Amino acid sequence: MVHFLLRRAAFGLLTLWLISLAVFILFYVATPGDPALMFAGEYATADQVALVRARLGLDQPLHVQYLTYLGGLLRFDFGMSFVNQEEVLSAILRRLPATASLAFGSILIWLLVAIPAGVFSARRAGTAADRLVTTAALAGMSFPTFVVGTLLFYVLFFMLTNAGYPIFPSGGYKPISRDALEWLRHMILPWMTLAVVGTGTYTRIARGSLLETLNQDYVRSARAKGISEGCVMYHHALPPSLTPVVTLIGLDLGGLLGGTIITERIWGINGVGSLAVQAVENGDLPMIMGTVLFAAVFIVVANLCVDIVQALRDPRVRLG
Amino acid sequence: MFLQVNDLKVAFSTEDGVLNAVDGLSFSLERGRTLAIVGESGSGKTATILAIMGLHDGNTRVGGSILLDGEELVGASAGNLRRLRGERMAMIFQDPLTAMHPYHRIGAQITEAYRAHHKSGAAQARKRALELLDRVGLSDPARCFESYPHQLSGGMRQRAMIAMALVCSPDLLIADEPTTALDVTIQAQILELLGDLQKEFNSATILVTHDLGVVADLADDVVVLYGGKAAETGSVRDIFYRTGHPYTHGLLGSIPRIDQPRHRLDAIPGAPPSLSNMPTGCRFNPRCRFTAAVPDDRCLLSVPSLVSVEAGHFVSCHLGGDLQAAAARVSAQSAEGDRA
Repeated sequence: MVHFLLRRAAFGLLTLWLISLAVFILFYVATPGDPALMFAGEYATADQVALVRARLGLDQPLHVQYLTYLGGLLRFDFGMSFVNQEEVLSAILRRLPATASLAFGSILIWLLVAIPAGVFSARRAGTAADRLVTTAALAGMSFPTFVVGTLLFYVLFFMLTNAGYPIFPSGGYKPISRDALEWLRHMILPWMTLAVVGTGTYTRIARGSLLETLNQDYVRSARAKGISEGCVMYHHALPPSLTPVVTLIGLDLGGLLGGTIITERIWGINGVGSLAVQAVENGDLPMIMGTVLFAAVFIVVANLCVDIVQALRDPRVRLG
Repeated sequence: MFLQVNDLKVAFSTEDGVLNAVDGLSFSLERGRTLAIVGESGSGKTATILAIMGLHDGNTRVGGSILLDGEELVGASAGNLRRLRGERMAMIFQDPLTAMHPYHRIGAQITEAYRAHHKSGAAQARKRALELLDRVGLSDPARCFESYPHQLSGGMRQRAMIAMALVCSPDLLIADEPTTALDVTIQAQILELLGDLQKEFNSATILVTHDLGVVADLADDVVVLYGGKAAETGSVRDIFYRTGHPYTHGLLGSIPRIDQPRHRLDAIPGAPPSLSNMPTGCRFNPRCRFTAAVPDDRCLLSVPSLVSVEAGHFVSCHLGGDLQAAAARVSAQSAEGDRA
């Protein structure tokens, strides 16, 4: 188990290093403009640009630049924003609670809906109820986030508020530490926006995987022992069938923590996603690098968590 | 009779229509005896035993009658079947690796059936499981109890699976190709163990196999299945020494013998029939060497019924079980053909 996890962790670190190298090459070597020029601004004199270049270390040989960059990363120093001189790391961390609330909340909702729906559907495979669930799931998967978000905005904010029931706000983020109820009120619609697509996908995966597991020999053996159908379903069939779901949560959670651009935009949530978009719009190189690296860290860490969870679930992984 | 199967029919509804996997099969079995069901893949062996265990799903129609100690199993309620499964009838599956749950410890998998059928605590179930693990010849029962299936070798796993089936001392034990997934040396040990346990538990045993060597070792009676119907039924001696059906004859001809001069093995030509495309007349006729010995194309036109050729020995063939006379007639005919 320990050996397995160390190997996975080492693999994760290797992945991170490769990503950081790719980011370095992309932004230091292959970048189309001159970062010093961008930083100094449009009206800077040649002297000012040279001064900026020296201060950013861009006049150093490439390998020195790389070592400085890597050293910074190891000290969690991602540099300063070109735009407002704010530290990249603190800018990201300041926005993380909003993005994390969005990511964890919506994943929780879609798991709580999708797994029971998948089980319901698989147990009734081929019936009208099953077809209804799978069709609804397909519809959910097919809606683009911006359509779902706009619809929710129109119906649950605009129409309800106009009708005199201002239950949901139009957007924004309220920290949970200040007022948990307000936080919840502001998060519900963004969660639903993200959850519609995820629920559809996960319902279909949970259903398909459970159907496949129900055909396994060990499920037949369980039935042959004369144990109750509920025990067969929830003790024997469901746990192994969740493997693809767990794997996918890792990917999705990592992705969502890296920023949910469209949902954050629709609901006016100042999260990591909108930070990344602003950075791109402003040509703010350190901030872009920071958000990219951060997203990569989340994906790698989430995958490591998935490996740990799989090892805890499956003795074949754990005891290999 | 302890187990009485009468006119059993198993039909799968599929997109291609209804497929009759078992079509009018009858046999019976006493306690303490072993019945071998022999046939190729697709002959209906597995469909038959799953029907007895009540393990077919909703897309499968089971007809006819299965009486277990006088209790009708066909059409019995799910709850009744569940009460019988594991307790009065149990099953040993072909491949213990896929038939055991990969996430659960061997001990938990054995005690599960016991606790489902007895109002007993964990300690008593554990004691029973350890007893059985010891009885099936596992050297360190306590360690096996705590192991996961993938930590044991194939032979140990199959022993553990046998313990799992025997935990409630079932009256009817069904072994579905119990040695197919094992090495040859392990096969012999497992067969010996099965034979010993059968005597000890005095259970009625159904042995499903395509291996006639296993049949000769363990069985008292044999049902030879072909295309979902019984081709021949009888005692092991009837089947091996007074073979009455061309298909059984073909099966026996395809086993290598070390007590006879070496010659090329006779394979049965052709392939087993597909359920969706059964031949008319006798289901074996496209592969049969003896059709020429039967006048008026009866093999192609009419389905032979299962008739008694001697006490307890039944054959479903227009030749009426006399293969030697038929062989003589076929060779005489071909000699005549050569002269003309």
